[in-house]
Amino acid sequence: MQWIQERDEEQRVISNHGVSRHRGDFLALVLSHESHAPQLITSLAKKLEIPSENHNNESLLEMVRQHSDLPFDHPMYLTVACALALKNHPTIEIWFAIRTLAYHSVEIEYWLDNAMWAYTEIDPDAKRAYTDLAKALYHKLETGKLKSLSERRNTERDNVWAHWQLTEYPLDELWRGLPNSDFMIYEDERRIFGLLSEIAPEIFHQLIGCSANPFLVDSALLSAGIGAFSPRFRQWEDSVRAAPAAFDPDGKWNGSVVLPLLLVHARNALLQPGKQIPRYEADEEEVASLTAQVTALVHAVVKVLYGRADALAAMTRWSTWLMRQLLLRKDKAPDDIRSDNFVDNALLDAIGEASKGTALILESPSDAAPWEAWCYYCVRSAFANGGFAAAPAYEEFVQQWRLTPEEWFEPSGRGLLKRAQQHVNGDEPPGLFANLLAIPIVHADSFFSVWQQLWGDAYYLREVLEYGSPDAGSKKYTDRADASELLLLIARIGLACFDQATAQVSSDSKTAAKEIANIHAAVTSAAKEALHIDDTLNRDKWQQLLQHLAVRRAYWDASYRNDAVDAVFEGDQGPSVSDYLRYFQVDPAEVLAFLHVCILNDFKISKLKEDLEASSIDLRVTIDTIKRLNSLRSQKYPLNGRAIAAMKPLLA
Amino acid sequence: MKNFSAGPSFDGTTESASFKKEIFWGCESGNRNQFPLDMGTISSRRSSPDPKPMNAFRSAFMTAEDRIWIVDPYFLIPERGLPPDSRIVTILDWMHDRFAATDIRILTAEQKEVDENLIQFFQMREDELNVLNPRRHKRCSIQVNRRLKIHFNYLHDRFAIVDDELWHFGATVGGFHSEVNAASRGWSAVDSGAIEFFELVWKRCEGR
Repeated sequence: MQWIQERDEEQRVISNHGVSRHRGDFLALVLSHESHAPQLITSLAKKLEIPSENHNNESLLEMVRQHSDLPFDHPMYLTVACALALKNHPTIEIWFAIRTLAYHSVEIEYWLDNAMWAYTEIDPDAKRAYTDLAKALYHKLETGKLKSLSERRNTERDNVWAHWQLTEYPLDELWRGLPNSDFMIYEDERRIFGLLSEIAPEIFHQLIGCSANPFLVDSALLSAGIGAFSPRFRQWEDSVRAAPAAFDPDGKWNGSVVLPLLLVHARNALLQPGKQIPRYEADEEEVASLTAQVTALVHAVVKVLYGRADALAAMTRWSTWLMRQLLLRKDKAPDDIRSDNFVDNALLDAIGEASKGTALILESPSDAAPWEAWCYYCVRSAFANGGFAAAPAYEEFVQQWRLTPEEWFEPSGRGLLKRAQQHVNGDEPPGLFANLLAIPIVHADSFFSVWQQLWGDAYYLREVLEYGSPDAGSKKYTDRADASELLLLIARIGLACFDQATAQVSSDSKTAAKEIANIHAAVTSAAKEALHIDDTLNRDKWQQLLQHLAVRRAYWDASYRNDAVDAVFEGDQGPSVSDYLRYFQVDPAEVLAFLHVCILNDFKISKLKEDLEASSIDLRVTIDTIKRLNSLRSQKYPLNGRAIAAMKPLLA
Repeated sequence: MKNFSAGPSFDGTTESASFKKEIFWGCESGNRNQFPLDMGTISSRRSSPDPKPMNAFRSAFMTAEDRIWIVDPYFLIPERGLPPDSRIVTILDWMHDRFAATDIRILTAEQKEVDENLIQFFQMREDELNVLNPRRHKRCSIQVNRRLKIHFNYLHDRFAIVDDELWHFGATVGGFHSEVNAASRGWSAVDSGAIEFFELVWKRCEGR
């Protein structure tokens, strides 16, 4: 198995900034230098082994230039001499001298590890010496005793470490991929760690496994082929197997940074191919092929992870983060790798499938950030939706809404707000978040009663929306808008219950149809109630919700459909389409918008005409009004020409 | 994850508004439609103690019907030598008594020149507007978020969305800048993804 980026060999050559020399070149030089340049490398190394001498790249290169007709590039001799000096004296002092040379020479910087590798191929002592050196360097860096030659790097190290120490939820920082740091802060030594990962992988894994410095670990991982530039699946897989336990059985993170960082790198590698595909006019065959390859990789990643003892706990936390990423984006169908949601969605599915039959952790662990509780609830709902696990108990969610007026500004009220507001309410209703929160409710015996109870329990939020809370002080508007957002979420959950239940309804389940019709009526009533009291920015969202309810009323009524449907509504069962039209008619644009959707969904024109008549709406007058308003204030009353054109059958 | 989208479709219901595309350069007479072509105009603008904003933007701002969203780290900072509240006072003047827009969001960076007390003027104006127009369909909301650089340090250009129209600025939104700079208008904020982008950045800067 390989990452997709790994398959593109050319990219790795480009990343060498044009100073690429293969390892074989260095091995050839190490094996042959005594024959074509006797004593050159030995004498250069001897000079380097005197740490007190102030070495200068030019003077050392001059020594090389004195030998004529050398078959290799001159800097290669100096690089091999550096590797030899380090082999003979793997000490910090000698490293300082060589690091200074590398700092001023891009060749030495890029080639040193290749030259060192060449020695490990012919001399078993070299392996030991370089391992000792890498260990010493790592410990010095871990304890902050080895400074960079660049003051800027030192300041960066101090800053990121200080930030890390102050971070309230460090696991979040890891999941984010340490956004404030730059892996180059350990650029001087990172290639040595890359070499160590090859010549002594157990030592490498031990070193990073014991490390508490995520920036150093990340830098080492990157050098070891687990990261952006030269990701290799094999290295990643080995590292996952070797990484120390990072999570307790209850899901609590134990502070070990390696596994979370490996998960972050796996996700990045999976996302990479999607970033290189154009969003429009892409080669569909290429997209399909890459999508299939990414899907296979997703399963491979999850399979490797499930080989670990802490897999369930690790997956609990990681899937929670993945869910958060899904919820933060707009709800677009993750059909292929062009969708930003594709990888996260596929990972969640694969994790759900892999955890099928195991007892999931039921609660967010004690070290979880506030956002995690609902995201994990959504993960469990998604697993239930996929048939991988039982749905969580809805009561777990519903009881959080039972607030007294005093609690609204207490931690329980603020916590509720924080959890609910993390997610985008901008999707077409109901949206992914509401749909996931609705799943456990739909699994209840009577989802209508549960939803009604939820709306009833939120009575205080309606009080806040209408009058503001006495504790809000000068932030009265914000307070009311917050309450509105929470109520809107409940209403969207109601709509999601409706959608999920209708998707399962069959013509012989009369009880279910009654339940669905009840929730439809209840959510409509809730939306209308909110529109009476809500003058915040969310007002349009309530109106949008009502439009969705109205369209669903017609969609799930067989008398409006030209095709067969397992109907939920019959006859004039309220609220009827004409009830909605009567409500919409105060704003002609709303009437037009509703009828436009009806026509696009191919509802029966005769039925819509009947409803217009029943609600005393003259569509010609409505359209004239819209046009007149538009002529007076076009910005405030935009004209939807497409919608007006679509009205033709209704006017005939 | 199984798809939840069974049911009626709402695709194809929206129609993008069309706008006239224009480009403006800031100048002392408000704005012009071509580069300043003589050094006199350029230097008089450069040395102006209080460079005039672009008329076109001011007019769009004052006649907005619904939304004014601005993302510019330096939007509220006055020009050199002017009192710290001068830019804010100018913007508040644009929010006249019959100001119709209800959703005003300014996403900017915290600057030492502008302290929190000055930001409070926006809250006061919001209250005044809501008292002056109690029968508004929606209350007027003016939100100023100064965490742009902290939570979203990825922005170079500056943008404004007025209702559904996107404005793009080479320098300060509104054309307050005294050096040669231009702004263009007439882009659909929906089609260009400006609304989604702004919501994304706003959400991040709210710390959510």
